[in-house]
Amino acid sequence: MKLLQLLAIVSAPAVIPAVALAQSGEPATAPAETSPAESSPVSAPAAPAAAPVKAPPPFTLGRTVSNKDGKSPYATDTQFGHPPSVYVIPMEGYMGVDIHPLVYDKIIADVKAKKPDLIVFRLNSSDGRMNEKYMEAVNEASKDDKIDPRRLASGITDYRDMAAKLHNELDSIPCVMYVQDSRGISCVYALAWPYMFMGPDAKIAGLDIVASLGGGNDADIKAKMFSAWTGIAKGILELGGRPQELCDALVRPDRKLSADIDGRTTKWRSDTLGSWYVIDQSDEVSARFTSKSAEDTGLTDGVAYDMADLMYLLGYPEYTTVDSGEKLFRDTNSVWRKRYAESKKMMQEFQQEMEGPQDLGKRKQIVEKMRQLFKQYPQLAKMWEWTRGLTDDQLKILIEQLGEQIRTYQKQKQGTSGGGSSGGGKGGGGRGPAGPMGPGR
Amino acid sequence: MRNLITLMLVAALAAAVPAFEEHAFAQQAGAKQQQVKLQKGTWWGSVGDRVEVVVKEQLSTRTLTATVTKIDADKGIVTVDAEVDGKKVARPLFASNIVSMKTVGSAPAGTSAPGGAAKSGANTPAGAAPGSSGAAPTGKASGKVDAQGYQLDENGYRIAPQKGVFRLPWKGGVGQTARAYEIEQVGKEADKWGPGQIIILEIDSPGGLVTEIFKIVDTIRAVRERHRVVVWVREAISAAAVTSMQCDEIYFRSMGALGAAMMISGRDSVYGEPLDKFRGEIGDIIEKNGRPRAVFEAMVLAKAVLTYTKDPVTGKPTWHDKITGLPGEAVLSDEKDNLTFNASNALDSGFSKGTADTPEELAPLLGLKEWYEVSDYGVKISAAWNKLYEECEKDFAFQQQRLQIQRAGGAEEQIAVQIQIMEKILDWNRRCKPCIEGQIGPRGVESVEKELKDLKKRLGEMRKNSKTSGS
Repeated sequence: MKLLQLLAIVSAPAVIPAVALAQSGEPATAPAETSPAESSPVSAPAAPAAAPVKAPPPFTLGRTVSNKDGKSPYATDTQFGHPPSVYVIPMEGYMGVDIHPLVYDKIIADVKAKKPDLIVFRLNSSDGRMNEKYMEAVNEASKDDKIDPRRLASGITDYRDMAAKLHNELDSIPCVMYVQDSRGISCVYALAWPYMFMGPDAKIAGLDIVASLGGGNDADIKAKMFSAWTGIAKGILELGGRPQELCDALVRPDRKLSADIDGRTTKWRSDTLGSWYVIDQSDEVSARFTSKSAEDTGLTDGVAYDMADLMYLLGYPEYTTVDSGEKLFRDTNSVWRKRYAESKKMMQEFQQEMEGPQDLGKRKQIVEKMRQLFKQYPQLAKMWEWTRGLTDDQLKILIEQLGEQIRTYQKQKQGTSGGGSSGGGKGGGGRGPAGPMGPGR
Repeated sequence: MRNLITLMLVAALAAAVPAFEEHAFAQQAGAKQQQVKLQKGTWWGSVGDRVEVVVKEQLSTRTLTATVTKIDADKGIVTVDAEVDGKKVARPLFASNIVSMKTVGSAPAGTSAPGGAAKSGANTPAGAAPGSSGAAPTGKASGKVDAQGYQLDENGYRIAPQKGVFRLPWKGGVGQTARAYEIEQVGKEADKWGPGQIIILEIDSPGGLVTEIFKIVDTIRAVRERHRVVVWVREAISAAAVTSMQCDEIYFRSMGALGAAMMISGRDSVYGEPLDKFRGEIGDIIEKNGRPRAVFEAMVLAKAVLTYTKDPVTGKPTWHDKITGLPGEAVLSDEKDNLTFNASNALDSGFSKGTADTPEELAPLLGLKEWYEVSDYGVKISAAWNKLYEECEKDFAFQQQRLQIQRAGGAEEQIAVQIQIMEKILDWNRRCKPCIEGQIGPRGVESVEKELKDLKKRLGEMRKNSKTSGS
C-alpha cells in the first residue's frame, strides 16, 4: 500500500531524478540546491490561474523529511560528507526504574564529550501487560517481581521532565527514536521525538490504565484527575510534534482513532470515520499500533530490522557506532540490579523466624545496610517502593524500633543477671542502660 | 472541614476583589508598542521599527527588511514599507502569513505611535508599567549608588546593564510552596529597578488551596499595576491554572499543560453556592484580563463544552460553548472533560502567546534582544522556601511514625520522647506554618500545644513520684 502511495507521488516528472537515484541504491546525496522543493525562492506565480504543482521534498529510501520539528536525521538533510558517527541511547526495562534520570544525566554528559553526528534512542519498554485486561495485569504484577502499571504511570511528571531535558540538551544533534517495543506508559516516549522508526515486531500500545487513576467515585473529580493526568501525558507527546487526536487516542481509552490519508499526509481523526484506516474503535482500550499499521498510517517513518537497516533507511550505507551510551546504561543498571538481587536476599533473611532476641542486632544491621543501598542506588529504592511499598522512612522507623527492642532485651538481661554480670549496667540495680536523652542518669 | 472553611471564605473575599482599572498589558489601547501574534510566537514592536520579516508566499517564503508603518493587532495585519524586487512598496502582511519577524532597529523617538515617551530598550515595550505611578526609570546614571552597590538613576532606581527579567520558579502545591507571598516579594524586588519590569512566573504546580487563589488574585493585580507579569507554563493544573490566567501573558513550554480547575473539598467535588461564587468572581476577573470566560468555565466544569474556529484570513479565534460543526472547528473540551490545554492548542487558539523551551527561546517572544536576569532574588527565595517545606513535610511524616514506637525505658521515657516529638512539630510550625497547618490544620496545632502541656505535666509528676519512691 505504501509503495502505491510512493509511486503516486513520484509520478510527478520533477522528482524522477531523485527516484532514479534512490532506486539505483547509490548513496543518497541529492544536494538541497538541486532539489525541486528547495530551489531558489519562487516569487509571485506567473500564471495564477494555473493550479500550482506541489513539489514534494527530496527523499532517499524511506520516508523523507517533512514539516516536522527538530533536526532531520536523513542523509539528504544532514549531508555530512562522511559516514556519520551514531550514538545509541538505550531505553530498556521499566520506566522510572531502569529508564531513570541518573543514567541519562551520565549519558548526556557523554554525548556532549563524544560529539556524535546522530543520536538513536532505542526504546524497548513494556509495562508487562500480556493481556488486554488491566486488572489481570495488576494481579499478574503483584505475583512476581513486576511493577503495578499504576505505579509506573504515577511517575508521569518525572518522565515528562526527563524527556524535556533530553530534548533541551541533545536537540542540537539530529535524533531518531527506534522502537523495539513500547507498551503502556513508555508509549509517551515512543512518540516524544519527531522522527520514529519501528522494529518489524514492535508494538506501540497506549495507556489503558488512566481511567483507574484517582478520583474515587465522584465523577467530577475523576474527570478533573483524568483531564489533568492526560494533559500532562499529552504534553510529552507534543515534544514529538504529535497532533492532539493521536495523543488523545494513545492516552485515553475512551477516544477513538482513524485516519484520512492524502499522499504522504495523514490526518488523524477522533472518530471511526477516517476514509483510510481505523486504528481504534473501542471506548475501553487506547490505540495500539503494530509496525504495519504504524507504517501504513505514516506514524512511523519506516520499519527497520536492526541498526544497520535503520541507518540504511536514513540514507547512510556506512556509519560508525559510538557504543559508550550502551555501556553506561548497561553498567549503571547492572550494578543496581545486582545490589537489588542482594537486597532481596537480605530481606528474605530478615523475614525468617528469629531464633531468639540475640538475632535483633543482626536484623538491625540488615535494615541499616538496606538504608545504605537505598541512598546509594535511588533506582533500587524506587524498585522496592514500587514492588513492595517499602520506603526509606519506613526503614528509618524500623531501625529505631529495633534499637528499642534491643535495649529492652538488654535491660531484661541485666535485670535477670543482676548487677555483677560482665555486661551489666554500671549502676546495677535494674535502672536501665540509657534514658531517652542520652546515657543513663 | 478546612476545605469547607476555605470555600466559605470565597464569598467573604469576593467583595474585596476590586474591578480592574486596566486591561492586560498586551491589550492596552494607546500603548506605543503592540503585540502581534504570528504563526509561531509573537512580535513586540511599534510603528517605525525596522524589521526583518519572513513571509509565506504560496510555494516559498520571502525574507524582507522593512519599516513598519501601521499595526492592526486586532485584525492581525502589519503594514510595512519594503523593497521588493528592487521597488519600494507598501505591503500589508497578514500575521498568519508571517513565519518570523524580528526587530533590527527601533523607531526613532517621536516617530512612533502617539503619546509615547522615549523607549528604554530597542525591543522593550515602552512605558511597560501599566498604570505605573511615580517616575519611570531613565537609565541615566546619577552618580549615586545604593547600599548594595547598585548604580542609581536620576529617579533613584537601580540601573540594569540591559533590559531583562525577574524569574520566580513557582513550584509545588498552591498555598504550600507556590504562594502569593513570593510573588509579592519579587514585585518589591523589581520595584527597585523602577516600574515596567518583566516578572516571569515559571509555573510547575498541580494546584492547591482555593483560599490562596484569592490572595494570589490580589497580589498579581497589585504587581501588574507596576510591572508586566508573565507566566511560563510547565504544569499549571487547577489552582495554578487559575493563577496563570491572572497574568498579563501566558507562554507554554512544549510539554506544558494548563487546566482542570474543578473545585474539590475533601473527597467530593463542590457544587452550589461556593462553586457559583468561585465561578462568578474569578470568571469576572479572568474576563477583565481579556480572556474568555468560556475557557475558565470549561476548566471548572466537566460538562462545559469548548470549541473554537479561526478566521481564515486573520487567524483570529472565535470560541463556542457547544459543538457547532463549522469547518475547521477544534474541540478542546467535550461534556465529559475538564479543559486542559497543551502547548499546541493553546497557541493555535490564541490562549498562549508563544511556546519556548529555553530562556533563549522565550526572550524574543517577550520582546527582549537576549535573555538577561536582572536579579536572582526570586530564584533564591523560591529555592529556600521549597527546601524548607520539603524538609518539614518529610520530617513531620517521620515524627508521626516515631510516636508509635514502644520505648525501652518504660512510660517515663515514652512520654519524654513524645514531648520531644511534639516540640519538634511546633518548632516546624514556627518555621514553616503552611506545611504543618496544611497537614493538621490550625486546630491540630492547638491540640498539639495542649497535648504537650499535658504530657509535660504528667512527666513532671512521674519524675516527682519516682524521686519520692526512690528516696
